[in-house]
Amino acid sequence: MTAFPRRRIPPSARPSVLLRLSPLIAFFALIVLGGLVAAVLQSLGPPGHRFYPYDKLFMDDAFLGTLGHTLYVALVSTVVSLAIGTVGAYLLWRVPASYQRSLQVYRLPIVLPHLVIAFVVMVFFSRSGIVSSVLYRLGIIDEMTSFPRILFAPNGAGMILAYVIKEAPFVMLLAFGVLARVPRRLHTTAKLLGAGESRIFFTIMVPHMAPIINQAAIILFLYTFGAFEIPYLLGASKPQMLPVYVFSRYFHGSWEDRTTAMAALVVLGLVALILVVVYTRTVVRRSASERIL
Amino acid sequence: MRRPPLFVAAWNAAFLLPVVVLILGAVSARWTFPNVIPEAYNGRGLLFLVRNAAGISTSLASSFAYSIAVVLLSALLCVLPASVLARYEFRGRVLLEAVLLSPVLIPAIAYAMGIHFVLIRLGLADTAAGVILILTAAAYPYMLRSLVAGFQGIDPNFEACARNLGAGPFRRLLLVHVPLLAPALVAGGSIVFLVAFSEYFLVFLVGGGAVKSFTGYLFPFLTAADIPIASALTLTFLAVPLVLFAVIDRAVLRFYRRRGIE
Repeated sequence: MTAFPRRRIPPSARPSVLLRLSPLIAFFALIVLGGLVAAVLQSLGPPGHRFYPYDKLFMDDAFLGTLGHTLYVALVSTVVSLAIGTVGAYLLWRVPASYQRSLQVYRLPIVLPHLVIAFVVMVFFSRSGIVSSVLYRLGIIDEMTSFPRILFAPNGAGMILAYVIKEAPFVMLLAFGVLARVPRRLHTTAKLLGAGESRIFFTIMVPHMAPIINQAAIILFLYTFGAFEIPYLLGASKPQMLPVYVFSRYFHGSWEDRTTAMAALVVLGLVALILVVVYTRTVVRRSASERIL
Repeated sequence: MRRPPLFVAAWNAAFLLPVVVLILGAVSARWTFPNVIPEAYNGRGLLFLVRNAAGISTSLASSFAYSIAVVLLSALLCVLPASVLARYEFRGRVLLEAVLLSPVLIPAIAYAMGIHFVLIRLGLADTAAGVILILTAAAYPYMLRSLVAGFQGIDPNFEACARNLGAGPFRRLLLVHVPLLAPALVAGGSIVFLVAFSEYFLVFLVGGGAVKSFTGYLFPFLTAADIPIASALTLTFLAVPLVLFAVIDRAVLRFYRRRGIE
């Protein structure tokens, strides 16, 4: 699609431009910005001890464990989703165009709600689930309890699986969109010159996908970092994921716990803001077709 | 490449597996370790849908209604700002666009739990209005992005032409832009709808128990690990957006055919 060029605002149009922008700016300021500011205000201690909740928070081993666990789950699910998604996109790209249409079901998990993905993971990966049953039939495990605990495991395996099932197809969709513009002859030439598949993938495909990979990494990481549903359904009770920690402290804790919960929420918000700034800097110079958001 | 047929089969099987399992689960009577497929089948899961049709349809209708409201509010809020961001170059445009799109990156919990207290004070907690506001905050950036791209693809001369013929700003928007923006509205609207319809946490937080939602209805059955009932409900849940998208697709196609644009 051709984009028509932007022009400067003629002085006569200035009031109308402001008028057109203001409702959305007001909405953003009230709900999003207002919400973030309200969280900061609710996280402060009594006068003279304004930052006491933060001191308490960073002395709390449960919180530090939660923070580390959340960063780890977000990082692992993002990296695995990116790896599977980009390799999947390359596999899809190599298939003749006539077959590509019959492979589009890979988009299914993108529209499946997180709740549904979590349920599917439960059915497949519980100790009495389908995967465990298949392994038993194949003689790989000899009883249910030799199947590793994946759901509610402190290593976050169930959550990581759920996120990868949901997010790898999303990466695949984006990466395939980029690869569709890569000339086939690059692949043919590399093959003629004797490059193997992995070399072609890393030296030709990955550089083309790099802008998308960078953006998707931030989007996926932030989503995983701040999402509630999957940790609530598949996460361990110790260590908790940060959003669940905030929620349970706030609603099931004492009055004082509410302030620390809000302080933890502010930490979550700060991580998000830093990554939003990084994201914005990486996409500013990109054309619309190279941007995800 | 020689492999495709097998590759196609394996690929499709892998991605359709979850849905196949949900269908099997919905009609299963007993499915215990180490059975890879259910041992016995009955209609308990489906019967549950029939017996509880009233509760299920109420929660579906509620989810559907607030999701449509979120789509409409997002479109209303975004259409004019999108025209500005697409048409004009000014100092701070890039920053403004980034700020307005940022709610898509910032986890909703960060502002939703902060604003919750304010919504209680304003009497908006536990109301549909509160739910619509918070869901719109989380979902409108998809609409904004889609509409900015949509406006960039419309020749500004169309508007100039309508203006020269004497159409006021409101008529230009309604008769020139909205029809040309239909694909962008549908694309953005579909994502916004899906985000709102699939959301559990925000509805649960702001709506309390008062605002019914299908995700809220489904949730206890997921944690109870009652496979037949949870599978049957999940399949019902999936049907709504799929049917809706199919209907919209056909409607948009007809709309353009009638106008001979295609």
